Amino acid sequence: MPPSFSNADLDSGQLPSIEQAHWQTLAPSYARMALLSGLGFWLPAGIGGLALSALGLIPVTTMLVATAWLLLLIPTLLSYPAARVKRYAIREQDVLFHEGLLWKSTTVIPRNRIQHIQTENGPLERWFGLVTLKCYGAGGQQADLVIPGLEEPLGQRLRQYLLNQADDRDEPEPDEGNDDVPQ
Amino acid sequence: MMYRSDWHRVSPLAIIHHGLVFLRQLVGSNPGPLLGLIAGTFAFARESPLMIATTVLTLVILGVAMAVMSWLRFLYRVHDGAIQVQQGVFTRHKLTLAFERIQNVRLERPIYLRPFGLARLTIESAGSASEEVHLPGIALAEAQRLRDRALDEGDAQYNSGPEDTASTSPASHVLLGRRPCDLIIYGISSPAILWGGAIAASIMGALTRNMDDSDSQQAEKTMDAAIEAMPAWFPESLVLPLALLLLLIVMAIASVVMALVRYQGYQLFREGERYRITSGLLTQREQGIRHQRIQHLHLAQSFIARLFCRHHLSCHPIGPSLPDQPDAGGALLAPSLNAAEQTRIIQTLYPGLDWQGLRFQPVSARFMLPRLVLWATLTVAAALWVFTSDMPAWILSALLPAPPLIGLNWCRQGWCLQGERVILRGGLIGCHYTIFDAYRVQTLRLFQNPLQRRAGLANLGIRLGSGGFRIPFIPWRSGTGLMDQLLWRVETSRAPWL
Repeated sequence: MPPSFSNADLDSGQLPSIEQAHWQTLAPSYARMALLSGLGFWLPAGIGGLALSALGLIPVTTMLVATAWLLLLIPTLLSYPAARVKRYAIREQDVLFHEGLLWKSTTVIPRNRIQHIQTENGPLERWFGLVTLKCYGAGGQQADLVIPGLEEPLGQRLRQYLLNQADDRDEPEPDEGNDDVPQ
Repeated sequence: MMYRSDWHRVSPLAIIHHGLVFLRQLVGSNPGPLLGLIAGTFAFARESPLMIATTVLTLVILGVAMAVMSWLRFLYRVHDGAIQVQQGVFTRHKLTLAFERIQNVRLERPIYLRPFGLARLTIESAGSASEEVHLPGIALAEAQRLRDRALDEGDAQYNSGPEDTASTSPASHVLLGRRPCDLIIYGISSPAILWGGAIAASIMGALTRNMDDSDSQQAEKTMDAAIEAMPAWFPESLVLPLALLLLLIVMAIASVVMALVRYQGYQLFREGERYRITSGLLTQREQGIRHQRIQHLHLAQSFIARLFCRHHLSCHPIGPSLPDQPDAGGALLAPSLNAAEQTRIIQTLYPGLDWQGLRFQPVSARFMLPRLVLWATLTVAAALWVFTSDMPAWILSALLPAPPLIGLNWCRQGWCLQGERVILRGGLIGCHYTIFDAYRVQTLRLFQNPLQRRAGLANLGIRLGSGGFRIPFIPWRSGTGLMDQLLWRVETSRAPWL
């Protein structure tokens, strides 16, 4: 069923489509990092849970804890392929991010709506030399678009590039980690 | 302590404002815990009245001292195109709010400030609710001057051309007035009625929690006596429904009184490019917003409002949307509009929009699927429960109206793109509309679950500065098409959108 837009002066078929975007994959080490951080939580949590139930400190049988632990291994292991399907695209006018193995989503933030850009890296990301890029719009509390798993030099370059693009008069500033885009 | 000469202190009457803020923080949004505390105190007071008296006295003195300290440490000045405020008793906050960044201005004249020619000015900037400045107890003329400056600098930011002289003294004309009967309809059909219910429930909860055994026995005796005192012809099975009806009536009356007090003398003015609302019996409020700052318009209709064919309209500026607040969370509100008024206001706010001739695109009928599955699961669970216990089977009939309601909910869903404007429709028995300019979109998100992917469907999430919306279960092609279309409008637009 094709959409019938009530806008006469534009053929919607001629618009650049998000489906034709040139997608980029994240750094190969990001999937390893996602798996490692998942296992880093799964392993101690399971051992802790087993120990607590074996000592009788929680009213759950060891068998039940072990089953739950093994079941939790599935989403933990799935974090690896989930990280590998994540991809992003930087177009002339907007930034796109795609994620999801089963529940898929594509998020777009137009560049002229970016108010603030931030790069972050936690201890594990620093170990792998990765950064997370966060784009904030106006009025919200959380980042509107988050691209994890970028190699650090690329992440910083992207941040600088998006900042400069968002306002051409904006002079490049020394790397601070976050910046506001003057509107 | 030395102060720079241009820092001003507000009137000492602001102490009342600080005291009220302190009290409101204490009560919070749920008065239950405080009422419980009071009830507990009364129970305790019978045993040691002196201790309670000293505690209460200490608390009161502490509260007054806090309010006085808040007043003493509250300073403001207008400096370098911005309002600067210093406040805080223990932690000092200094806030600078540039006039050109101001989104929303509210001038209030509470009953304790009005006889002295004073007012309270509330200023909001883009972003979170914490970026809100209250200036309590400043002279009315000063408050009006600051308000005009805030609204004019916003104008000057966009209309810097020399031809723009009208914005300094725009002609004011009344767009809308409200009669008491409109406000009564608003009272019984607005979400405020639920607030009345929530407050009643928390009071009841606090009372029952803090009643000890002897009290509850006494209450039971009173209930029994009340039931016995009723005439013999009165069937006992009607007691509970009647009690519920009584509660509903009390809630409705409370809500109507709230609406009458809050919106008494309501008038919506248009002054050039800005809108102004004055209303209020005890606290006279004056809210102002520039046309440019309105991010989206919402027309809400509860099922009671549908009986009266009314819609409640709210204009939302940028900022976190708080839809559950009784006065629409800081948004500008036009209560209980009939169809003609609604069309007139929409024509004013969105000129050129053919409100009567909108053609909405439906969403896929699969929209009903997850809801029907949930309903079926609940029905099966309830049926099992009825068969395994001695619950009466008529309880199952409560689940019967759900499928038609799900169908109705599906019929209400729809979206429409007319020129620059996006109109979303939703609702259950009542019909809600959300209207915004396509170029105000900030983020778009197209998402689908595995079942939707197999059916070629997707949901489109749209976020504006004033809140997020969702168009569910539309064909994937429509979703990507609409997304491309909206992106094109945002990216080619040079219109100021903040």
